[in-house]
Amino acid sequence: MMSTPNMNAPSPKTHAIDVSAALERKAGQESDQSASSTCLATKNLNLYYGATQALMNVSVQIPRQRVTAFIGPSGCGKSTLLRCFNRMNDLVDNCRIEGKVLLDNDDIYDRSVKVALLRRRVGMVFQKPNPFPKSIYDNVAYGLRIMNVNDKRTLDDTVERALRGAALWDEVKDRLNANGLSLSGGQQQRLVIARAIALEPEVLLLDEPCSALDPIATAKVEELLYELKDRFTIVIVTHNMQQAARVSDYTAFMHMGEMIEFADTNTFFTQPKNERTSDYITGRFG
Amino acid sequence: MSKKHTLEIFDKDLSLLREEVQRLADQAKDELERAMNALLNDDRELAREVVASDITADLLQQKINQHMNIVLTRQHAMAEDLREILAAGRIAAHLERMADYAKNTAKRTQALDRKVDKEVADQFSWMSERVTAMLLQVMRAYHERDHSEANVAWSSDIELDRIYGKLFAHLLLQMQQEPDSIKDAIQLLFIAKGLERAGDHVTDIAEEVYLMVTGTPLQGSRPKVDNIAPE
Repeated sequence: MMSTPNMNAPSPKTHAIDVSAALERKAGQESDQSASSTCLATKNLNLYYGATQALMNVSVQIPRQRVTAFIGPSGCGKSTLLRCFNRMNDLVDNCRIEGKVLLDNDDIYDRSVKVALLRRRVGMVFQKPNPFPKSIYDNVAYGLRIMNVNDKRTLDDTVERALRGAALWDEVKDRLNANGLSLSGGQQQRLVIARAIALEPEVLLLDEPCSALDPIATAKVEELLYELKDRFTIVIVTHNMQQAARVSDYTAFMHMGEMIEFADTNTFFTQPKNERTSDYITGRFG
Repeated sequence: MSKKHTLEIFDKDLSLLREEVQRLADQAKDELERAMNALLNDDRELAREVVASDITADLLQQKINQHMNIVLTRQHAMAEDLREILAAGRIAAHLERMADYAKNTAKRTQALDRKVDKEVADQFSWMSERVTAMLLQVMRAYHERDHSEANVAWSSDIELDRIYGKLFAHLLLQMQQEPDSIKDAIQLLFIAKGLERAGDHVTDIAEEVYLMVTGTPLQGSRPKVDNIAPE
């Protein structure tokens, strides 16, 4: 006799990260080779803080509209490399760079490059959420206003689009005038992401974006990355290897300023080629 | 594996898992040998003991599965560690099935009318020794993470297939010539098939060991003899 469905059975709970949908998206992307051209690249990049060399001849190609994760022990140079991608290291005294960093094949360290415009194309989110002490609305509209966009309708549309893009709209739409600092840590981080994507950058750099967040807030940010990579090239630095395995399409391992291994994430975490990579991801390090 | 984990408890967990797999392999080997002794010596009491002791293999397999789940949950294993933990679970399933064949042999032994004749007994004895030798070899490959030895164990099943084919033909002929022997001969055919399947499980374990060590599946088709239409 066939059993009848139990109408009283609880509906299955869904993961904060929709795994099956993510896998489908991944499968779709894997078949779409046209989207995987190189967005960012470094060529023989060396970086020095005074006499100390922090990056050693790093050459890497970061695919467009993919999530690329950089992992490695503290001091390996991953955050330093990330900050090369929007010239944040320009602000560091005694920092010297050799080699090239290319965005869409253009050298971003060329004298003709305007750094403010570069940073509009390459947005960045830091470890600790850093909303401005302004309203939620003003936080997201901040970048546009700096660019002298003051038309209310344009601002309204952009703020809503960015907050929706950062999966925050439903939570804040009724209190856009509330102070950004009144939000929870996870909401603040998504607000900062909304502020970054409001300017429609090509690249989103994330430096340990979830290290100050609880697991639920972390899952929401990770789910957001899945969604955002359809529109942006995302580069994430993380100490959390499980996070790298969950969210990235490509993973790179750095050690003592060197790029040790770069591979698609599935291969990287199941069959790493380099012994140092294997030792690191299996916890046989140091 | 030469290098230790920074987290010592992870090494202990993996080591314990390996010991548990070995314990199950010992149990399967012991049951197969005792079942064969019961068959060849027509020892019904020993056959009953083998049937009763099969629960031990089931419990060992359950323990390995529980331990696997705990290690996976706690240690977030990656790469070779992940492969080793998953291999332990899959190898345990094969070993438990081998122990099942021993139990089946012991059950069928109790249903026989007559003691097995010498010619058949010799062939059973040879098959049993072959399975045991293959099991020892594949477990050595498992512990030493030796994919070459796993490959040798994988290829050596053909000898078992060959002797099974001969035994199959012999029992078929016996049934044709001595209709009174059919009842026993059918039981013996199933026992022989069980031994042949036990050999197949060893080759499956060899494949698991190869994958565990190298990260890639063993390629190519395994040498086989057609048992249904033996020479």
